Amino acid sequence: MNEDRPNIICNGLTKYYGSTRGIENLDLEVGHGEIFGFLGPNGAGKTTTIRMLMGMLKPTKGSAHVLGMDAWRESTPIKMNVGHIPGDVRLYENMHVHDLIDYIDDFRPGPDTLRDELIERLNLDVGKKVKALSRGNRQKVAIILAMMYDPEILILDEPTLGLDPLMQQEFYTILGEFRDRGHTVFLSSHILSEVERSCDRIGIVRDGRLVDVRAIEDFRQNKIRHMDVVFGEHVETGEIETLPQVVSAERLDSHMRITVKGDIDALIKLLSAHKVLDLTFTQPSLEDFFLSFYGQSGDKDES
Amino acid sequence: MNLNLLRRSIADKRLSILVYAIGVAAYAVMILAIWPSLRENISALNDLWQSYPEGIRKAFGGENMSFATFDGFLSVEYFNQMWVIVMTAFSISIATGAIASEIEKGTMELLLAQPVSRRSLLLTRHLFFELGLLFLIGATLIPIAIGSPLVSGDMSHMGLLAFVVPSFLFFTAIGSATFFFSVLFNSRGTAIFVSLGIIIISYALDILAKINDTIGNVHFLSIFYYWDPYRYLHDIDFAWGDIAVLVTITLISTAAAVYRFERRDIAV
Repeated sequence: MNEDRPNIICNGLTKYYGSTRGIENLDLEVGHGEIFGFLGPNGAGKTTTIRMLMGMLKPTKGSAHVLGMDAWRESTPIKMNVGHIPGDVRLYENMHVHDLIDYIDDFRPGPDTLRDELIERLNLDVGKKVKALSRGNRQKVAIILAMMYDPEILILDEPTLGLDPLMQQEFYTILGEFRDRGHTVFLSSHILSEVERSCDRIGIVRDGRLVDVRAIEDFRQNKIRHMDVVFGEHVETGEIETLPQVVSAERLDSHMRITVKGDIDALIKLLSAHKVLDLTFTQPSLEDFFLSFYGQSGDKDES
Repeated sequence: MNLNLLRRSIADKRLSILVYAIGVAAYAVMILAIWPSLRENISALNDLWQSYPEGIRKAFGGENMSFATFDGFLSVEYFNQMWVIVMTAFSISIATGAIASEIEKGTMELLLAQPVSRRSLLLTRHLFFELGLLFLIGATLIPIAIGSPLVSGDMSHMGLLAFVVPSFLFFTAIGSATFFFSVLFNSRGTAIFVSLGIIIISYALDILAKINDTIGNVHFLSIFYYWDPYRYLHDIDFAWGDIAVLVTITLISTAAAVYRFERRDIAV
Protein backbone atom coordinates (compact mmCIF):
# COMPACT_ATOMS: atom_id res chain seq x y z
CA MET A 1 0.00 0.00 0.00
CA ASN A 2 1.40 3.38 -1.03
CA GLU A 3 0.46 5.85 1.72
CA ASP A 4 1.50 8.89 -0.34
CA ARG A 5 -0.79 8.19 -3.24
CA PRO A 6 -4.53 8.83 -2.84
CA ASN A 7 -6.53 5.62 -3.04
CA ILE A 8 -8.97 7.10 -5.55
CA ILE A 9 -8.02 9.62 -8.23
CA CYS A 10 -10.35 10.93 -10.94
CA ASN A 11 -8.90 13.12 -13.68
CA GLY A 12 -11.39 14.83 -15.98
CA LEU A 13 -13.61 11.77 -15.64
CA THR A 14 -16.50 12.07 -18.08
CA LYS A 15 -19.26 9.73 -19.14
CA TYR A 16 -21.90 10.32 -21.75
CA TYR A 17 -24.59 7.80 -22.71
CA GLY A 18 -24.95 8.81 -26.33
CA SER A 19 -25.88 12.46 -26.02
CA THR A 20 -27.10 12.09 -22.43
CA ARG A 21 -24.73 13.38 -19.77
CA GLY A 22 -23.75 11.05 -16.93
CA ILE A 23 -20.89 12.94 -15.26
CA GLU A 24 -18.63 15.58 -16.70
CA ASN A 25 -15.01 16.47 -16.09
CA LEU A 26 -14.76 15.09 -12.55
CA ASP A 27 -11.50 15.82 -10.75
CA LEU A 28 -11.30 14.22 -7.33
CA GLU A 29 -8.91 12.58 -4.89
CA VAL A 30 -9.80 10.44 -1.89
CA GLY A 31 -7.05 9.51 0.56
CA HIS A 32 -6.35 6.77 3.08
CA GLY A 33 -8.39 6.51 6.24
CA GLU A 34 -11.11 8.74 4.88
CA ILE A 35 -14.85 8.42 4.44
CA PHE A 36 -15.75 10.54 1.45
CA GLY A 37 -19.40 11.34 0.82
CA PHE A 38 -20.54 11.93 -2.73
CA LEU A 39 -23.71 13.92 -2.30
CA GLY A 40 -26.21 14.87 -4.93
CA PRO A 41 -29.82 14.52 -6.02
CA ASN A 42 -31.03 11.60 -8.12
CA GLY A 43 -29.67 11.76 -11.65
CA ALA A 44 -26.72 13.97 -10.68
CA GLY A 45 -24.13 11.42 -11.82
CA LYS A 46 -23.24 9.63 -8.57
CA THR A 47 -24.00 6.10 -9.75
CA THR A 48 -22.29 6.72 -13.09
CA THR A 49 -19.13 7.75 -11.24
CA ILE A 50 -19.27 4.70 -8.99
CA ARG A 51 -19.81 2.39 -11.94
CA MET A 52 -16.74 3.84 -13.63
CA LEU A 53 -14.70 3.37 -10.46
CA MET A 54 -15.86 -0.27 -10.43
CA GLY A 55 -14.96 -0.82 -14.10
CA MET A 56 -18.56 -1.41 -15.16
CA LEU A 57 -18.62 1.62 -17.46
CA LYS A 58 -15.90 2.83 -19.79
CA PRO A 59 -15.19 6.56 -19.40
CA THR A 60 -15.98 8.68 -22.43
CA LYS A 61 -13.07 10.93 -21.48
CA GLY A 62 -10.60 11.21 -18.63
CA SER A 63 -9.58 8.48 -16.24
CA ALA A 64 -10.19 6.99 -12.83
CA HIS A 65 -7.48 5.30 -10.80
CA VAL A 66 -8.14 3.10 -7.80
CA LEU A 67 -5.19 1.90 -5.69
CA GLY A 68 -2.94 3.33 -8.40
CA MET A 69 -4.47 1.21 -11.16
CA ASP A 70 -6.67 2.26 -14.06
CA ALA A 71 -10.26 1.51 -13.09
CA TRP A 72 -11.23 0.36 -16.59
CA ARG A 73 -8.14 -1.40 -17.90
CA GLU A 74 -6.97 -2.97 -14.62
CA SER A 75 -10.37 -3.59 -13.14
CA THR A 76 -9.72 -7.23 -12.15
CA PRO A 77 -6.68 -6.78 -9.85
CA ILE A 78 -8.29 -3.68 -8.31
CA LYS A 79 -11.20 -5.80 -7.12
CA MET A 80 -8.95 -7.98 -5.00
CA ASN A 81 -8.99 -5.05 -2.58
CA VAL A 82 -12.27 -3.28 -3.23
CA GLY A 83 -15.69 -4.00 -1.77
CA HIS A 84 -18.75 -2.68 -3.56
CA ILE A 85 -22.42 -2.21 -2.78
CA PRO A 86 -24.43 -1.25 -5.87
CA GLY A 87 -27.29 1.21 -5.72
CA ASP A 88 -29.73 -1.46 -6.79
CA VAL A 89 -28.75 -4.67 -5.03
CA ARG A 90 -29.44 -7.74 -7.16
CA LEU A 91 -28.64 -11.19 -5.81
CA TYR A 92 -29.10 -14.78 -6.94
CA GLU A 93 -32.68 -15.41 -5.87
CA ASN A 94 -32.52 -19.19 -5.61
CA MET A 95 -29.41 -19.43 -3.49
CA HIS A 96 -29.31 -19.72 0.27
CA VAL A 97 -27.63 -16.72 1.86
CA HIS A 98 -24.78 -18.82 3.31
CA ASP A 99 -24.14 -20.40 -0.11
CA LEU A 100 -24.06 -16.96 -1.73
CA ILE A 101 -21.59 -15.71 0.88
CA ASP A 102 -19.41 -18.83 0.35
CA TYR A 103 -19.56 -18.34 -3.42
CA ILE A 104 -18.47 -14.71 -3.34
CA ASP A 105 -15.89 -15.48 -0.67
CA ASP A 106 -14.25 -18.10 -2.90
CA PHE A 107 -13.34 -15.50 -5.53
CA ARG A 108 -10.59 -14.19 -3.23
CA PRO A 109 -7.75 -16.23 -1.78
CA GLY A 110 -7.55 -14.25 1.48
CA PRO A 111 -9.52 -14.93 4.65
CA ASP A 112 -13.03 -13.57 5.23
CA THR A 113 -11.95 -12.06 8.55
CA LEU A 114 -15.13 -10.07 9.21
CA ARG A 115 -17.73 -12.52 7.93
CA ASP A 116 -19.04 -13.97 11.18
CA GLU A 117 -18.77 -10.67 13.02
CA LEU A 118 -20.80 -8.84 10.35
CA ILE A 119 -23.46 -11.55 10.23
CA GLU A 120 -23.85 -11.25 14.00
CA ARG A 121 -23.79 -7.45 14.17
CA LEU A 122 -26.25 -7.06 11.31
CA ASN A 123 -28.43 -9.80 12.78
CA LEU A 124 -28.84 -11.68 9.50
CA ASP A 125 -30.36 -15.16 9.16
CA VAL A 126 -28.05 -16.80 6.61
CA GLY A 127 -30.13 -19.98 6.44
CA LYS A 128 -32.84 -18.37 4.34
CA LYS A 129 -33.10 -18.29 0.59
CA VAL A 130 -32.38 -14.91 -0.97
CA LYS A 131 -35.83 -14.73 -2.51
CA ALA A 132 -37.36 -14.91 0.98
CA LEU A 133 -35.43 -11.86 2.20
CA SER A 134 -36.88 -8.41 2.75
CA ARG A 135 -35.38 -5.32 1.10
CA GLY A 136 -33.46 -4.49 4.25
CA ASN A 137 -32.08 -8.00 4.66
CA ARG A 138 -30.92 -8.03 1.04
CA GLN A 139 -29.04 -4.85 1.79
CA LYS A 140 -27.42 -6.56 4.79
CA VAL A 141 -26.29 -9.40 2.52
CA ALA A 142 -24.78 -6.84 0.12
CA ILE A 143 -22.96 -5.18 3.03
CA ILE A 144 -21.52 -8.52 4.19
CA LEU A 145 -20.46 -9.48 0.64
CA ALA A 146 -18.67 -6.15 0.24
CA MET A 147 -16.99 -5.93 3.64
CA MET A 148 -16.34 -9.48 4.87
CA TYR A 149 -12.74 -9.67 3.64
CA ASP A 150 -11.87 -6.21 5.03
CA PRO A 151 -10.91 -4.62 1.68
CA GLU A 152 -8.70 -1.54 1.45
CA ILE A 153 -11.44 0.44 -0.28
CA LEU A 154 -15.21 0.38 -0.07
CA ILE A 155 -17.19 1.91 -2.93
CA LEU A 156 -20.80 2.18 -1.82
CA ASP A 157 -23.81 3.47 -3.71
CA GLU A 158 -26.61 4.50 -1.34
CA PRO A 159 -25.57 1.75 1.11
CA THR A 160 -28.28 2.19 3.76
CA LEU A 161 -31.28 1.88 1.43
CA GLY A 162 -33.87 -0.29 3.12
CA LEU A 163 -32.07 -0.52 6.48
CA ASP A 164 -34.00 0.43 9.60
CA PRO A 165 -32.56 3.28 11.75
CA LEU A 166 -30.92 0.91 14.24
CA MET A 167 -29.19 -1.00 11.48
CA GLN A 168 -28.16 2.25 9.81
CA GLN A 169 -26.52 3.27 13.08
CA GLU A 170 -24.73 -0.08 13.32
CA PHE A 171 -23.62 0.21 9.72
CA TYR A 172 -22.09 3.64 10.31
CA THR A 173 -20.33 2.32 13.40
CA ILE A 174 -18.84 -0.45 11.26
CA LEU A 175 -17.81 2.11 8.62
CA GLY A 176 -16.13 4.20 11.32
CA GLU A 177 -14.12 1.18 12.49
CA PHE A 178 -13.20 0.53 8.88
CA ARG A 179 -11.89 4.07 8.51
CA ASP A 180 -10.01 3.76 11.82
CA ARG A 181 -8.10 0.82 10.36
CA GLY A 182 -6.83 3.19 7.65
CA HIS A 183 -9.17 2.06 4.89
CA THR A 184 -10.98 4.31 2.43
CA VAL A 185 -14.72 4.64 1.90
CA PHE A 186 -16.30 6.32 -1.11
CA LEU A 187 -19.99 6.64 -0.37
CA SER A 188 -22.75 8.14 -2.47
CA SER A 189 -25.99 9.40 -1.04
CA HIS A 190 -28.80 11.80 -1.69
CA ILE A 191 -29.58 12.01 2.02
CA LEU A 192 -27.89 14.97 3.63
CA SER A 193 -28.07 13.78 7.24
CA GLU A 194 -26.58 10.42 6.30
CA VAL A 195 -23.54 11.99 4.71
CA GLU A 196 -23.18 14.55 7.48
CA ARG A 197 -22.99 12.04 10.29
CA SER A 198 -20.65 9.57 8.64
CA CYS A 199 -18.23 11.37 6.33
CA ASP A 200 -14.98 13.24 6.80
CA ARG A 201 -15.28 15.15 3.54
CA ILE A 202 -18.07 15.60 1.07
CA GLY A 203 -18.15 16.24 -2.64
CA ILE A 204 -21.30 17.81 -3.95
CA VAL A 205 -22.39 16.84 -7.42
CA ARG A 206 -25.19 18.45 -9.32
CA ASP A 207 -26.30 18.13 -12.95
CA GLY A 208 -23.29 15.97 -13.74
CA ARG A 209 -20.68 18.33 -12.32
CA LEU A 210 -18.78 18.39 -9.05
CA VAL A 211 -19.65 21.79 -7.62
CA ASP A 212 -17.76 21.67 -4.34
CA VAL A 213 -15.58 19.54 -2.06
CA ARG A 214 -15.24 20.49 1.58
CA ALA A 215 -14.46 19.04 5.00
CA ILE A 216 -17.50 18.07 7.02
CA GLU A 217 -16.71 20.66 9.74
CA ASP A 218 -16.65 23.41 7.14
CA PHE A 219 -19.89 22.08 5.78
CA ARG A 220 -21.51 22.14 9.22
CA GLN A 221 -20.31 25.70 9.79
CA ASN A 222 -22.08 26.86 6.68
CA LYS A 223 -25.16 24.71 6.73
CA ILE A 224 -28.53 26.35 7.01
CA ARG A 225 -31.07 24.81 9.38
CA HIS A 226 -34.56 25.74 10.42
CA MET A 227 -35.43 25.99 14.09
CA ASP A 228 -39.07 26.19 15.22
CA VAL A 229 -39.42 27.69 18.73
CA VAL A 230 -42.55 28.02 20.82
CA PHE A 231 -41.96 30.72 23.44
CA GLY A 232 -43.79 31.00 26.75
CA GLU A 233 -43.52 34.78 26.52
CA HIS A 234 -43.43 37.49 23.89
CA VAL A 235 -40.14 37.68 22.02
CA GLU A 236 -39.42 40.11 19.17
CA THR A 237 -38.02 38.66 15.95
CA GLY A 238 -35.67 41.63 15.80
CA GLU A 239 -33.93 40.48 18.97
CA ILE A 240 -33.19 37.10 17.41
CA GLU A 241 -32.05 38.65 14.15
CA THR A 242 -29.33 40.61 15.91
CA LEU A 243 -27.20 37.47 15.96
CA PRO A 244 -24.93 37.20 12.89
CA GLN A 245 -25.66 33.47 12.51
CA VAL A 246 -29.38 34.09 12.14
CA VAL A 247 -30.41 34.47 8.52
CA SER A 248 -34.04 35.26 9.32
CA ALA A 249 -36.66 34.98 12.04
CA GLU A 250 -40.38 35.08 11.33
CA ARG A 251 -43.44 34.55 13.40
CA LEU A 252 -45.72 31.74 12.19
CA ASP A 253 -48.95 31.26 14.17
CA SER A 254 -47.88 29.95 17.58
CA HIS A 255 -44.18 29.63 16.94
CA MET A 256 -41.20 31.45 15.52
CA ARG A 257 -39.22 29.98 12.62
CA ILE A 258 -35.58 30.87 12.85
CA THR A 259 -33.25 30.14 9.95
CA VAL A 260 -29.71 29.80 11.20
CA LYS A 261 -26.44 29.28 9.36
CA GLY A 262 -23.47 27.54 10.96
CA ASP A 263 -22.75 27.64 14.70
CA ILE A 264 -25.88 27.63 16.86
CA ASP A 265 -24.21 28.15 20.23
CA ALA A 266 -24.94 31.89 20.48
CA LEU A 267 -28.54 31.36 19.44
CA ILE A 268 -29.11 28.67 22.08
CA LYS A 269 -27.65 30.97 24.73
CA LEU A 270 -29.94 33.79 23.62
CA LEU A 271 -32.99 31.51 23.66
CA SER A 272 -32.13 30.31 27.15
CA ALA A 273 -32.75 33.83 28.42
CA HIS A 274 -36.42 33.34 27.49
CA LYS A 275 -39.09 30.86 28.48
CA VAL A 276 -39.04 28.19 25.75
CA LEU A 277 -41.96 25.72 25.67
CA ASP A 278 -40.86 23.72 22.64
CA LEU A 279 -38.00 23.63 20.17
CA THR A 280 -37.52 21.55 17.04
CA PHE A 281 -34.80 21.47 14.41
CA THR A 282 -35.66 20.61 10.86
CA GLN A 283 -32.96 19.14 8.64
CA PRO A 284 -33.01 20.94 5.31
CA SER A 285 -33.93 18.96 2.24
CA LEU A 286 -31.27 18.48 -0.37
CA GLU A 287 -32.92 21.14 -2.50
CA ASP A 288 -32.94 23.60 0.47
CA PHE A 289 -29.31 22.75 0.93
CA PHE A 290 -28.44 23.48 -2.67
CA LEU A 291 -30.38 26.73 -2.56
CA SER A 292 -28.60 27.83 0.59
CA PHE A 293 -25.13 26.89 -0.61
CA TYR A 294 -25.26 27.45 -4.31
CA GLY A 295 -28.29 29.52 -5.16
CA GLN A 296 -30.96 28.59 -7.68
CA SER A 297 -28.55 28.09 -10.54
CA GLY A 298 -26.32 25.71 -8.63
CA ASP A 299 -23.43 28.14 -8.78
CA LYS A 300 -21.48 28.32 -5.56
CA ASP A 301 -22.68 31.08 -3.26
CA GLU A 302 -19.86 32.22 -1.01
CA SER A 303 -21.80 34.99 0.69
CA MET B 1 -10.87 -19.99 -16.49
CA ASN B 2 -12.34 -19.59 -13.03
CA LEU B 3 -12.98 -22.81 -11.08
CA ASN B 4 -15.29 -21.16 -8.57
CA LEU B 5 -17.48 -19.85 -11.38
CA LEU B 6 -17.46 -23.25 -13.13
CA ARG B 7 -18.47 -25.08 -9.94
CA ARG B 8 -21.32 -22.63 -9.36
CA SER B 9 -22.53 -22.91 -12.96
CA ILE B 10 -22.65 -26.69 -12.63
CA ALA B 11 -24.47 -26.48 -9.29
CA ASP B 12 -27.01 -23.99 -10.68
CA LYS B 13 -27.76 -25.87 -13.88
CA ARG B 14 -27.32 -29.49 -12.86
CA LEU B 15 -31.04 -30.13 -12.58
CA SER B 16 -31.94 -28.65 -15.94
CA ILE B 17 -29.04 -30.47 -17.64
CA LEU B 18 -30.20 -33.68 -16.02
CA VAL B 19 -33.70 -33.13 -17.39
CA TYR B 20 -32.28 -32.53 -20.88
CA ALA B 21 -30.10 -35.66 -20.53
CA ILE B 22 -33.02 -37.83 -19.41
CA GLY B 23 -35.04 -36.46 -22.32
CA VAL B 24 -32.48 -37.22 -25.03
CA ALA B 25 -31.66 -40.62 -23.52
CA ALA B 26 -35.33 -41.57 -23.17
CA TYR B 27 -36.03 -40.62 -26.78
CA ALA B 28 -33.03 -42.68 -27.91
CA VAL B 29 -34.36 -45.65 -25.93
CA MET B 30 -37.78 -45.16 -27.53
CA ILE B 31 -36.22 -45.19 -31.02
CA LEU B 32 -34.37 -48.37 -30.09
CA ALA B 33 -37.56 -49.91 -28.75
CA ILE B 34 -39.66 -49.27 -31.84
CA TRP B 35 -36.98 -50.26 -34.36
CA PRO B 36 -37.50 -54.10 -34.15
CA SER B 37 -41.20 -53.83 -34.96
CA LEU B 38 -40.59 -51.31 -37.75
CA ARG B 39 -37.79 -53.41 -39.23
CA GLU B 40 -40.30 -56.18 -40.00
CA ASN B 41 -42.11 -53.75 -42.30
CA ILE B 42 -39.01 -51.90 -43.40
CA SER B 43 -39.36 -52.62 -47.10
CA ALA B 44 -42.77 -50.90 -47.15
CA LEU B 45 -41.35 -48.02 -45.12
CA ASN B 46 -38.37 -47.76 -47.42
CA ASP B 47 -40.63 -47.84 -50.48
CA LEU B 48 -42.62 -45.00 -48.97
CA TRP B 49 -39.39 -43.07 -48.34
CA GLN B 50 -38.17 -43.67 -51.88
CA SER B 51 -41.53 -42.55 -53.24
CA TYR B 52 -41.00 -39.07 -51.81
CA PRO B 53 -39.72 -36.43 -54.23
CA GLU B 54 -35.97 -36.33 -54.50
CA GLY B 55 -35.83 -32.85 -52.95
CA ILE B 56 -37.75 -33.96 -49.88
CA ARG B 57 -35.47 -36.96 -49.44
CA LYS B 58 -32.42 -34.72 -49.78
CA ALA B 59 -33.86 -32.27 -47.31
CA PHE B 60 -34.66 -34.75 -44.56
CA GLY B 61 -31.81 -37.16 -44.59
CA GLY B 62 -30.09 -37.43 -47.92
CA GLU B 63 -30.92 -38.61 -51.38
CA ASN B 64 -29.16 -41.91 -51.00
CA MET B 65 -30.19 -42.59 -47.45
CA SER B 66 -31.87 -45.88 -46.80
CA PHE B 67 -34.60 -46.40 -44.24
CA ALA B 68 -33.73 -50.05 -44.21
CA THR B 69 -30.81 -49.51 -41.88
CA PHE B 70 -30.95 -48.50 -38.24
CA ASP B 71 -28.51 -45.61 -38.76
CA GLY B 72 -30.74 -44.28 -41.55
CA PHE B 73 -33.82 -44.57 -39.38
CA LEU B 74 -31.97 -42.96 -36.45
CA SER B 75 -30.80 -40.06 -38.63
CA VAL B 76 -34.24 -39.25 -40.02
CA GLU B 77 -36.39 -39.99 -37.00
CA TYR B 78 -34.14 -38.66 -34.26
CA PHE B 79 -30.99 -36.73 -35.11
CA ASN B 80 -32.56 -34.65 -37.88
CA GLN B 81 -35.71 -33.94 -35.89
CA MET B 82 -36.17 -34.06 -32.13
CA TRP B 83 -32.49 -34.26 -31.24
CA VAL B 84 -31.44 -31.22 -33.25
CA ILE B 85 -34.30 -29.22 -31.72
CA VAL B 86 -33.46 -30.23 -28.13
CA MET B 87 -29.74 -29.66 -28.55
CA THR B 88 -30.31 -26.28 -30.20
CA ALA B 89 -32.68 -25.28 -27.38
CA PHE B 90 -30.03 -26.33 -24.84
CA SER B 91 -27.30 -24.37 -26.64
CA ILE B 92 -29.37 -21.19 -26.85
CA SER B 93 -30.61 -21.53 -23.28
CA ILE B 94 -27.15 -21.92 -21.76
CA ALA B 95 -25.47 -19.27 -23.94
CA THR B 96 -28.11 -16.60 -23.34
CA GLY B 97 -28.31 -17.50 -19.65
CA ALA B 98 -24.54 -17.09 -19.33
CA ILE B 99 -24.32 -13.37 -20.08
CA ALA B 100 -27.51 -11.62 -21.27
CA SER B 101 -29.63 -13.07 -18.50
CA GLU B 102 -27.12 -12.01 -15.83
CA ILE B 103 -27.03 -8.48 -17.26
CA GLU B 104 -30.82 -8.35 -17.42
CA LYS B 105 -31.25 -9.59 -13.84
CA GLY B 106 -28.51 -7.27 -12.57
CA THR B 107 -26.42 -10.10 -11.10
CA MET B 108 -23.62 -9.39 -13.60
CA GLU B 109 -22.73 -6.37 -11.49
CA LEU B 110 -22.28 -8.62 -8.45
CA LEU B 111 -20.07 -11.00 -10.44
CA LEU B 112 -17.95 -8.24 -11.97
CA ALA B 113 -17.46 -6.65 -8.55
CA GLN B 114 -15.32 -9.73 -7.81
CA PRO B 115 -11.74 -10.22 -9.04
CA VAL B 116 -12.75 -12.17 -12.13
CA SER B 117 -12.03 -10.73 -15.57
CA ARG B 118 -14.73 -10.49 -18.20
CA ARG B 119 -12.71 -12.75 -20.48
CA SER B 120 -12.36 -15.38 -17.78
CA LEU B 121 -16.06 -15.14 -16.95
CA LEU B 122 -17.13 -15.63 -20.57
CA LEU B 123 -14.65 -18.42 -21.33
CA THR B 124 -15.58 -20.26 -18.11
CA ARG B 125 -19.24 -20.10 -19.02
CA HIS B 126 -18.31 -21.27 -22.53
CA LEU B 127 -16.42 -24.22 -21.10
CA PHE B 128 -19.40 -25.07 -18.92
CA PHE B 129 -21.60 -25.03 -22.03
CA GLU B 130 -19.22 -27.38 -23.86
CA LEU B 131 -19.14 -29.77 -20.89
CA GLY B 132 -22.94 -29.74 -20.90
CA LEU B 133 -22.99 -30.52 -24.61
CA LEU B 134 -20.61 -33.45 -24.15
CA PHE B 135 -22.79 -34.76 -21.32
CA LEU B 136 -25.92 -34.61 -23.49
CA ILE B 137 -24.19 -36.22 -26.46
CA GLY B 138 -23.01 -38.95 -24.11
CA ALA B 139 -26.52 -39.36 -22.70
CA THR B 140 -27.79 -39.75 -26.27
CA LEU B 141 -25.17 -42.09 -27.65
CA ILE B 142 -24.48 -44.40 -24.72
CA PRO B 143 -27.98 -45.97 -24.83
CA ILE B 144 -27.67 -46.23 -28.62
CA ALA B 145 -24.20 -47.82 -28.44
CA ILE B 146 -25.39 -50.31 -25.85
CA GLY B 147 -28.82 -50.94 -27.35
CA SER B 148 -28.20 -51.05 -31.08
CA PRO B 149 -26.52 -54.51 -31.14
CA LEU B 150 -29.54 -55.84 -29.28
CA VAL B 151 -32.04 -54.51 -31.82
CA SER B 152 -30.29 -54.34 -35.17
CA GLY B 153 -26.64 -55.21 -35.41
CA ASP B 154 -26.10 -52.88 -38.36
CA MET B 155 -24.92 -49.92 -36.26
CA SER B 156 -21.20 -49.24 -36.35
CA HIS B 157 -19.52 -47.94 -33.24
CA MET B 158 -16.99 -46.26 -35.53
CA GLY B 159 -19.94 -44.48 -37.11
CA LEU B 160 -21.00 -43.21 -33.69
CA LEU B 161 -17.46 -42.00 -33.11
CA ALA B 162 -17.46 -40.21 -36.47
CA PHE B 163 -20.78 -38.63 -35.45
CA VAL B 164 -19.56 -37.32 -32.08
CA VAL B 165 -16.95 -34.78 -33.18
CA PRO B 166 -18.86 -32.85 -35.88
CA SER B 167 -22.06 -32.99 -33.79
CA PHE B 168 -20.28 -31.56 -30.76
CA LEU B 169 -18.70 -28.88 -32.94
CA PHE B 170 -21.98 -28.12 -34.72
CA PHE B 171 -23.73 -27.23 -31.47
CA THR B 172 -20.59 -25.57 -30.10
CA ALA B 173 -20.67 -23.31 -33.15
CA ILE B 174 -24.38 -22.54 -32.62
CA GLY B 175 -23.72 -21.88 -28.93
CA SER B 176 -20.68 -19.69 -29.66
CA ALA B 177 -22.66 -17.52 -32.07
CA THR B 178 -25.37 -17.28 -29.41
CA PHE B 179 -22.75 -16.25 -26.84
CA PHE B 180 -21.92 -13.35 -29.13
CA PHE B 181 -25.57 -12.23 -29.19
CA SER B 182 -25.76 -12.82 -25.44
CA VAL B 183 -22.92 -10.31 -25.03
CA LEU B 184 -24.38 -7.89 -27.54
CA PHE B 185 -27.80 -7.42 -25.96
CA ASN B 186 -28.98 -6.43 -22.47
CA SER B 187 -32.05 -8.62 -22.73
CA ARG B 188 -32.07 -12.40 -22.79
CA GLY B 189 -35.27 -12.35 -24.83
CA THR B 190 -33.63 -10.30 -27.58
CA ALA B 191 -30.58 -12.59 -27.62
CA ILE B 192 -32.85 -15.67 -27.92
CA PHE B 193 -34.97 -14.02 -30.61
CA VAL B 194 -31.99 -13.07 -32.78
CA SER B 195 -30.14 -16.39 -32.32
CA LEU B 196 -33.21 -18.49 -32.94
CA GLY B 197 -34.17 -16.34 -35.93
CA ILE B 198 -30.77 -16.87 -37.55
CA ILE B 199 -30.91 -20.64 -36.88
CA ILE B 200 -34.40 -20.93 -38.36
CA ILE B 201 -33.36 -18.94 -41.44
CA SER B 202 -30.24 -21.10 -41.73
CA TYR B 203 -32.34 -24.27 -41.45
CA ALA B 204 -34.83 -23.00 -44.03
CA LEU B 205 -31.97 -22.14 -46.38
CA ASP B 206 -30.60 -25.67 -45.96
CA ILE B 207 -33.96 -27.26 -46.78
CA LEU B 208 -34.67 -24.94 -49.73
CA ALA B 209 -31.17 -25.39 -51.15
CA LYS B 210 -31.63 -29.18 -51.06
CA ILE B 211 -35.02 -28.98 -52.73
CA ASN B 212 -34.27 -26.26 -55.24
CA ASP B 213 -31.04 -26.51 -57.20
CA THR B 214 -31.22 -22.88 -58.31
CA ILE B 215 -30.34 -21.69 -54.81
CA GLY B 216 -27.96 -24.58 -54.24
CA ASN B 217 -24.98 -22.31 -54.79
CA VAL B 218 -25.71 -20.43 -51.54
CA HIS B 219 -26.22 -23.62 -49.57
CA PHE B 220 -22.82 -23.20 -47.96
CA LEU B 221 -24.15 -20.13 -46.10
CA SER B 222 -26.28 -22.39 -43.89
CA ILE B 223 -24.59 -23.93 -40.87
CA PHE B 224 -26.72 -27.04 -41.44
CA TYR B 225 -24.72 -27.62 -44.63
CA TYR B 226 -21.85 -28.65 -42.36
CA TRP B 227 -23.70 -31.28 -40.34
CA ASP B 228 -24.92 -34.53 -41.87
CA PRO B 229 -25.65 -37.25 -39.29
CA TYR B 230 -26.39 -40.00 -41.80
CA ARG B 231 -23.09 -39.48 -43.60
CA TYR B 232 -21.14 -39.72 -40.34
CA LEU B 233 -23.06 -42.73 -39.02
CA HIS B 234 -23.47 -44.75 -42.20
CA ASP B 235 -20.40 -43.82 -44.24
CA ILE B 236 -18.17 -43.50 -41.16
CA ASP B 237 -17.04 -40.18 -42.60
CA PHE B 238 -14.95 -38.16 -40.15
CA ALA B 239 -15.81 -35.05 -42.20
CA TRP B 240 -12.68 -32.98 -41.72
CA GLY B 241 -14.06 -30.26 -44.00
CA ASP B 242 -17.18 -29.83 -41.82
CA ILE B 243 -15.02 -29.92 -38.70
CA ALA B 244 -12.75 -27.17 -40.06
CA VAL B 245 -15.69 -24.89 -40.87
CA LEU B 246 -17.42 -25.48 -37.51
CA VAL B 247 -14.18 -24.87 -35.60
CA THR B 248 -13.70 -21.63 -37.56
CA ILE B 249 -17.23 -20.44 -36.74
CA THR B 250 -16.65 -21.29 -33.07
CA LEU B 251 -13.33 -19.47 -32.86
CA ILE B 252 -14.52 -16.35 -34.68
CA SER B 253 -17.78 -16.15 -32.67
CA THR B 254 -16.01 -16.67 -29.36
CA ALA B 255 -13.29 -14.15 -30.15
CA ALA B 256 -15.96 -11.60 -31.19
CA ALA B 257 -17.91 -12.28 -27.98
CA VAL B 258 -14.80 -11.79 -25.81
CA TYR B 259 -13.82 -8.64 -27.74
CA ARG B 260 -17.27 -7.10 -27.33
CA PHE B 261 -17.75 -8.18 -23.71
CA GLU B 262 -14.43 -6.66 -22.68
CA ARG B 263 -15.43 -3.32 -24.17
CA ARG B 264 -19.11 -2.94 -23.41
CA ASP B 265 -20.69 -1.05 -20.53
CA ILE B 266 -22.51 -3.09 -17.94
CA ALA B 267 -25.70 -1.24 -17.12
CA VAL B 268 -28.77 -2.67 -15.43
